[in-house]
Amino acid sequence: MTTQDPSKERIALLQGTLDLLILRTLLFGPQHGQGVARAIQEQSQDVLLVDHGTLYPALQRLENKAWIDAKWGTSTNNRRARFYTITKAGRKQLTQETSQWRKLATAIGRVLGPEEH
Amino acid sequence: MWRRRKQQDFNAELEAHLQLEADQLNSEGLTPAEAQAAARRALGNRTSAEEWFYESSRWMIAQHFLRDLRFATRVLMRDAKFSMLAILGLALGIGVSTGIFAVLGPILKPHGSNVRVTEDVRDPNSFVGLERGRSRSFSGPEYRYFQDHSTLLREISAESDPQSLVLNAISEGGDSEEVRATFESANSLSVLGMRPALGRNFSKEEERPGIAPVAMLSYQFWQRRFAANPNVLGNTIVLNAHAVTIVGIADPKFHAEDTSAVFLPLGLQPLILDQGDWLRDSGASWLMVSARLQPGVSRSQAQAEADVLGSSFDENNHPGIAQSADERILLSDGGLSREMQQQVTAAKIVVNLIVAMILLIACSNLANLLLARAVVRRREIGVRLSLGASRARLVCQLLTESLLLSIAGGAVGLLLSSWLVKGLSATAVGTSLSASGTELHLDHRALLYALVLSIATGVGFGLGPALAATKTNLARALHAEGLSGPSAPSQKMWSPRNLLVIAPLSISLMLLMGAAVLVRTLRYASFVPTFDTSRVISMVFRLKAQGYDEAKSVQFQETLRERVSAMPGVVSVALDSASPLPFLPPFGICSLTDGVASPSSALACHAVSPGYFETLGIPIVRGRAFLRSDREASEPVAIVSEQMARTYWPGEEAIGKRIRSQGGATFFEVVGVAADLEAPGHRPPFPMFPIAYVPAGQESLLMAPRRDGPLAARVASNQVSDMQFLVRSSGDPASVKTSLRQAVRAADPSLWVSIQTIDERLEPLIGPQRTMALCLSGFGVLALLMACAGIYAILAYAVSQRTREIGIRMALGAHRREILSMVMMRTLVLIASGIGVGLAGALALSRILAASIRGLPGMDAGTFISVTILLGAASLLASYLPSRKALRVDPVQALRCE
Repeated sequence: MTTQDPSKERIALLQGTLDLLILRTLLFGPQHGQGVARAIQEQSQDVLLVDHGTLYPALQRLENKAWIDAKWGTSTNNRRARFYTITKAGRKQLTQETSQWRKLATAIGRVLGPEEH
Repeated sequence: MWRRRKQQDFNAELEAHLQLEADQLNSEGLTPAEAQAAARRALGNRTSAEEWFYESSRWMIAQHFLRDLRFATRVLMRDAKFSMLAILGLALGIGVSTGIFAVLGPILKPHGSNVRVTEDVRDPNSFVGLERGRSRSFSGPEYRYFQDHSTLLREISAESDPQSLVLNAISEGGDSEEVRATFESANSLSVLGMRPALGRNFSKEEERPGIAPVAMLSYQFWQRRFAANPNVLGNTIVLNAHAVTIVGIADPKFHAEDTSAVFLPLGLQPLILDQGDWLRDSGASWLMVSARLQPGVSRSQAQAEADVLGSSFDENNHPGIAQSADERILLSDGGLSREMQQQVTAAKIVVNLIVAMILLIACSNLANLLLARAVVRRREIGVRLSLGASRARLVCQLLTESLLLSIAGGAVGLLLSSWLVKGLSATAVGTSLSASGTELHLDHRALLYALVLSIATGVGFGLGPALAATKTNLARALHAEGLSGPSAPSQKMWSPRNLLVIAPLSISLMLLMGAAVLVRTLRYASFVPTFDTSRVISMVFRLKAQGYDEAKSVQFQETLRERVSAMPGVVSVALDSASPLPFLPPFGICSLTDGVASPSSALACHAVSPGYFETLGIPIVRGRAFLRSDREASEPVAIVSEQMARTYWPGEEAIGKRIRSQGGATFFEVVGVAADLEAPGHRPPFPMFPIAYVPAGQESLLMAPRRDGPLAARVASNQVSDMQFLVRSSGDPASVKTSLRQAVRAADPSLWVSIQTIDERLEPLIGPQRTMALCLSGFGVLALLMACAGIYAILAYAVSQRTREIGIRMALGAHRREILSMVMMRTLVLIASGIGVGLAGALALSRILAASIRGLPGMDAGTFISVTILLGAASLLASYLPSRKALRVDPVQALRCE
């Protein structure tokens, strides 16, 4: 039930990759949920599709794992929003997952061979 | 750490997201309305996110459970009749089976002389008991021979048969008491891996005669009689008129299973018992021997050595006498004799079978009810499923209901069983059991058992119906037919539903059959005396053990006899050398050399005073009774029981025959035949022998001590000084007992005396059997009732399901008889197959049990037929009642109900 732009090919997120993307986004500083969603979309040049409804459970999950912290605050346009910050444990997790992801991507790339056009 | 976040907070965050997103979209050029709609679309399923958060709360499971619990309680309360039925049925099953463990457990616990509780033994694998011959015991010389010569066994230890000794009053003004004692070797404790709780063990030197008298107290006796006072070490007690010093308190586990009070070193046997030196007598078998295998030695190696040592001992001691095969020495497991082990296992199997069967009936009834209910609720379940409840949640909820039922059933059952146990311990059996050291009570194990049982029942028998109920075809369930539609599978003969009728029926048939057979045997084993045993009081002394010599004993008896005869309420007094009932060998056992019977046949020999037969109330059938003129110097005469006359001189007149005991020189002329003490056709739980009576004073002629063996010595030593008084009372035996006790106290306050009516002496022997019979028939009836209740429930349900069909048939003009036969037909088939399966099962079980348990009575046609008829009639009645309801169906009502 999300808006889909038919001109662009969008990729549904793989299980678990959303966590990685959230952590990565938060690395640049505190951000609220909507900001995180936007950032992921923009940085992936609108390729990655983040269902906003699934973002919040993911944020809650990360908070439960103590990888991120949350605090209510005020946004730039004076709206109340819940701001998330990455914790130390979160940073560690990010490094770990990033390297794992890179390895996986390389491995899969090798298996699939050179890109065909 | 994760602190709990409120749902509102999460919802607020989602709300904030929508605003932020709308703001941004607005700034990107959308109108406010478009922006808000787009933001909401981008958020997707908001409810599902909120639900996700709600359910991810860690309290969710508990919350579900609580809600299920509340719901289940409501549902069960609403259908109170059903719930009561289910709870009561389960309570009966659980209560009875918990009660059985508490009650039958101690009764079935092996009592007896040489049983050691194997669990108490350290390293039971290397522990072996040695058995020889029928007595399973060894003589002193054999024991020492084994100790000296065995290389594969170590720590060979010996323990005597239990002896009853007289312990003089411990405190000033107290009563003397009879205590159970055993003679022990120095390592009796250490071979079991135990050590004295206080003080010391016996030493190796104390296994030889001529030592200073020392004793060890059992832990339980020390606690009971000496208030666990550690200063008791070094004190002196008087045992059988000998001062003995207490040197130790045994391990709490040593002989904890019996009432042993005192342990004495082997070397004290000649002094304390004063019945000859059994330590050196190779004809006296009185020692239970146990040992440890040397490390690395197998049981078969040790067995081979025991065979060799046994025959070499016999070579040396009884040269030329070939030993029969049953005199072979056998090694037994963990010190528990083979026969005992078999009996214990057999009893355990039977009890567990009974418990399992009763439980199975109770559970199948519960499953029945649950299944029936599930069908009734098919529509409700269908609605819930179609509204999106997951099957797992529904099964969970149905399970909660059955668990609630079963736990309630368990709680009520526990209450039932505590009543059962209380009721039983108030009976004579309870008192006789507590006298032997076993208390009837529900312990924590029984509680745990009941809890586990109810949970297992709830889950095990709730799961099936729950799974079945949720596997519904939604369309059909919601359709009106779903309410009353006949379910296709129930037409099949072996469908689960029908099995739930057949199984309890057949199980209760097996139970009833077993109960009937056992009750018949027990009744047969009970005992009917031919005289009024409640009015005859017997008064037993241990004069010799308390230091009375023969002259003093005779004088005491004469004085007491005169005094007792003059007492009010006393009709007559007589003296007897042994207890008439129950007659307890070996005292007073003798055998005859002359006569037709084989020399091994044993007789109960009583030396009795004049007036004996009128005191007991035994008529002399032929000939004459003893007279005052029959005394030591007169012609030796004897009176025999009818049974003896029949056994020894079948078809001949016994009067005028002459009898002589084995080893005795004198012939006795039979001058009379007395009636038997017990009615024929029974097999009492104690040995009954043909009886020969001789006049008091002539017994030394009949029972002249044999050269060999302690038996004759025991018999001889037991005469005169241990004559017991038999008193026939006219009024209340209790008041006569009190005055008898006073009379004895007046004569000698230090004397130990036991005053009981013959009834009271018999009670501990026949009481447990009576309770067993009572319990078993109770269980049989209970099983029958439960099975009938199951049949009733299932039929009532079936009829109510077919109300519409019956109504149509009646409207179309069917006769009542046709309706009745239609409803009953299938039930009849079910009942018949239940009985058939039960009969086959009972037969098979009796075959299997008879093959593995010795002494189990077989089945007879009479029991078979009567039990089958009883069960058939009861189940027919149970099925007729709901069928009658079918006849009362009002066609108009039935057709209108849609």
